[in-house]
Amino acid sequence: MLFEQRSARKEEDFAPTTMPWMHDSSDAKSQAIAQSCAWWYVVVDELVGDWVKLVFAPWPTLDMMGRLTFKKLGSSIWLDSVAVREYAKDRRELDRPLRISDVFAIYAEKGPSQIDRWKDFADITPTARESAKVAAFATRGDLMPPELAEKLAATGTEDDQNQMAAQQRVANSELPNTNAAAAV
Amino acid sequence: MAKVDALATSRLKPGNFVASLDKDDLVYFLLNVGDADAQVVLLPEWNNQRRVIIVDAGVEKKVPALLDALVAAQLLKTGPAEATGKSFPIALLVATHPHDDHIRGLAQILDDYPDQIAEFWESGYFHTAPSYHHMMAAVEKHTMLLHTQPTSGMQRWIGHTGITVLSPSIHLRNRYDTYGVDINDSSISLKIEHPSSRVLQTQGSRNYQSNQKAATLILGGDAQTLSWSFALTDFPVLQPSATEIAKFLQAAKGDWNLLNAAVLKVSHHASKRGVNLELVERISPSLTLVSCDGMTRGKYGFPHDVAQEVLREAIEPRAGARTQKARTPDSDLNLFYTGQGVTGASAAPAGSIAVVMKGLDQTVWRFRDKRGEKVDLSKACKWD
Repeated sequence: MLFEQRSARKEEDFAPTTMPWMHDSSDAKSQAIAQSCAWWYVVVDELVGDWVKLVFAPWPTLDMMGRLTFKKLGSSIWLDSVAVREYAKDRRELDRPLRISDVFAIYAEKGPSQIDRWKDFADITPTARESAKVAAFATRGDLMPPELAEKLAATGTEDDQNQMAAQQRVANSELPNTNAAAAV
Repeated sequence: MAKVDALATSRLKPGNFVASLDKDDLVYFLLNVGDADAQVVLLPEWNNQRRVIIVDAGVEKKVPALLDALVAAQLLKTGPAEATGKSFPIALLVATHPHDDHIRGLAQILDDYPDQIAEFWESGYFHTAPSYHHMMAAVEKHTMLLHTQPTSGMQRWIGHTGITVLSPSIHLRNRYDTYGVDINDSSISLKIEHPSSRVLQTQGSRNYQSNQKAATLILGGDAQTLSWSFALTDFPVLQPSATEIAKFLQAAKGDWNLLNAAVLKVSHHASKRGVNLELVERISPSLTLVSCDGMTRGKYGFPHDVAQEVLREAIEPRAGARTQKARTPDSDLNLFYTGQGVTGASAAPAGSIAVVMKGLDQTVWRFRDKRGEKVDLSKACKWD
């Protein structure tokens, strides 16, 4: 018999809601993105030579525990990486090379499989990476109960701020394809 | 652009794949999933039960369909361990790295086989793709699942079968976080050996027995040059030595190449950065397999010409030879591709590959399935 690594989750914890994920609840554009079904969640999944593989899915909602939930795992398309970068750069949304794990919100009523269908674009990489990090760490051991977090807060506050600042630096940096946020 | 050779129809002989298997055979399936990876290792019978190791499931449904076929053929018994009185039928589920073409089908397996998966290994590299979120939510549903992020050198034994993690090196694993590591270089690469048992037990006595005739298999994930450079140093060739300490360390008594393996699943669909000459020479495979589209070559153009040439040169050295001979066809070099065609046939590819490993002997079977089709064990053709 194996030992438990985390406490059991309830079936209902995984129930989807209709609540869309908002990458920044204080941002008007984020709210607009969450309210329109023409926005797509687009991930840089692979970079090979001059090509970028984008995985795109309908905008995610949240489940009862706040996990990102995708009704479909999405489709993928290979595009000219220079064209994608130029498109983003022209809209002042991306002033660095493309990196694997970048995430863009793309407005495309007919789907984002061709760049000429894109009508709006937002680089939401930092918050999308934060969500992926949470998805990763939620399976590593158990979840932190609020009372324990509160008990530890007195010693953790300054570190937390340093960690967040480090994360932000990494997210905004030109480091190639890094999982830097995992460290902090 | 060089072509992927079509296999000669005349050398693919229909046969009874299931009936050909012995309970002690290790069977490796490399499924035809295009430019993606999906692999199943059917372990030899141990305690009257076969179990499987699943390494990636790059498309949905194909791996579960194969498991169903194995159950129908009575090669595997699924069901919760407590209900069947057996061990977990899926001994190990590995997500080599979180690229969509490797993990897309893993959530389905986690959901479809509750309480039937003993261990889950992943590289520790997180990714923003929907399939990653989906997989991790599915992992979170499992309470009794040993969840590990292995690095090089870790060893695990399942019955008589041994598994050694070749990559990622702990050096790379730590660098995910500060210097940046390509997602492909986070890949878990494995060496599987059967039997790995070394102690011969007879009545009342036991002796160490070296085993030079084990079946060995290296599954390269999508590891690229950087990751393999660490593997080459982490797993050196131990040279013979007459020193006392070498005598004490049995392995150093003779040439002992820790990376040697009979079967190699080439990294990253034979991309130009997935292989290098030194690596393949060190592994020195007698059978080399590539998971790739092959027929249309997709957008990436996998396999890359330069990678094919590296594989061929490692298997059949030509560079620097005084007389230049024509290259031997890939199939005669025992170099196969999942998506390769068949001569004189319709668009049906040679399809998924099964390698039946009995010690140092290997038998190759093909199933003629297309990328989106299930493997039908009754359509097996033995490569002759």
